[in-house]
Amino acid sequence: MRARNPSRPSLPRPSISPSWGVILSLSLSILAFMAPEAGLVPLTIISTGLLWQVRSAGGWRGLVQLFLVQMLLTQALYVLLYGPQLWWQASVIVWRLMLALVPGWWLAHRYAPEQTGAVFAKCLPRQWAFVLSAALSMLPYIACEAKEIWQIQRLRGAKVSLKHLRHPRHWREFFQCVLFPLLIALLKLARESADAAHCRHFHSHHQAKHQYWQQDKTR
Amino acid sequence: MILARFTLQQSLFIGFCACLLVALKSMLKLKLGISGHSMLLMSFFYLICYGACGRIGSITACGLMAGLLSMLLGVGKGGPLILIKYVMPAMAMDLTLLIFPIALMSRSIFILAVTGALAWGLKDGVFRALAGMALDAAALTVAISTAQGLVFAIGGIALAIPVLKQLKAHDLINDHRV
Repeated sequence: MRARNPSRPSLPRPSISPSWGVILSLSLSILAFMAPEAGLVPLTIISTGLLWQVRSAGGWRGLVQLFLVQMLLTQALYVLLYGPQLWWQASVIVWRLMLALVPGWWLAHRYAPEQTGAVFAKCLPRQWAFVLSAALSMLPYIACEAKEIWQIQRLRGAKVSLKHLRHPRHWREFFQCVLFPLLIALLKLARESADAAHCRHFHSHHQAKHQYWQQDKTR
Repeated sequence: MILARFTLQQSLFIGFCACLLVALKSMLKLKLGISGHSMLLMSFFYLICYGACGRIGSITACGLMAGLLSMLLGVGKGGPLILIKYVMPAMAMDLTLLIFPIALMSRSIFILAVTGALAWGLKDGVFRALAGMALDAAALTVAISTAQGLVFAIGGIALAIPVLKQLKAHDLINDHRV
């Protein structure tokens, strides 16, 4: 997972708390749509600052690629519909979309998933806050399980390598022999986790929501 | 509240499905150059969640969890936008199920692909219209993304049905609807 890359610990301690980070990124995203055209200049400066903060995170190519593809598509659409004189308007649209993306990208790379997750957990019902934290902590295990089953099926001779998957003909095989066993594993995992939680008095005990997330920090 | 009616096991399964959806999306990266291919995995997992839990609301729950997870992990590019990308089709599918009670194995289940893809396309157009795109150009983008999403959504649902049948045959999910 990109979000768990080793470059994260080298980041300095966040100067603003995750809750404020979420609020900041949400409001910047909304502003990118709502601000008048002149307001885009300060927004661009702020976004550049945010990007500079997470410059070591990597994954720049995707952002640039997205920008180029969007620009090309929008310009093509405008040229087709209105002729080439509206190129500036089309560029502003793409720029607004990119400005709306940057704060979310910053949020994901600036804070550890557990930190941001604790903020969202406050808005969710207790059971779903637990599910979110469980899903987050089980993600490496599930990804590992997926890779293992995938490799085993490939050794068996199933045509499910990335090269095969370029062709839709092989998708059915992928779903049947990789995803089906994976779903069985997930059903088992869900039952075991639910039993474990019940044994620890999940439903009877008045446990504060944030406790699930504090346990994560000790890892 | 809809989300409160699930047992812990069901909600954990939904959470893990969302987790697998996000993990696979970042692992596979089907580089087809067409937007809308995420509808394939999305509609597959949404239908599996609905089949396994047999309750309206499970699709929205799965979408919400998947959106939150990919927002936290930075899979894909957009913070709050990615949440909407997952939740909009999910809500449309759930709403369809709420209005038309559809048997899971019948052919009319493909109507979910239509409503899901429509919500998927609308989300694209609404963002562009908000960013200042002229309405007819935005409507054209809605049409294009809906068509692209529809192809993949139909594929996802068509692939989910045999898997659900298999799960049922192994007695792993026990729901009268399947």
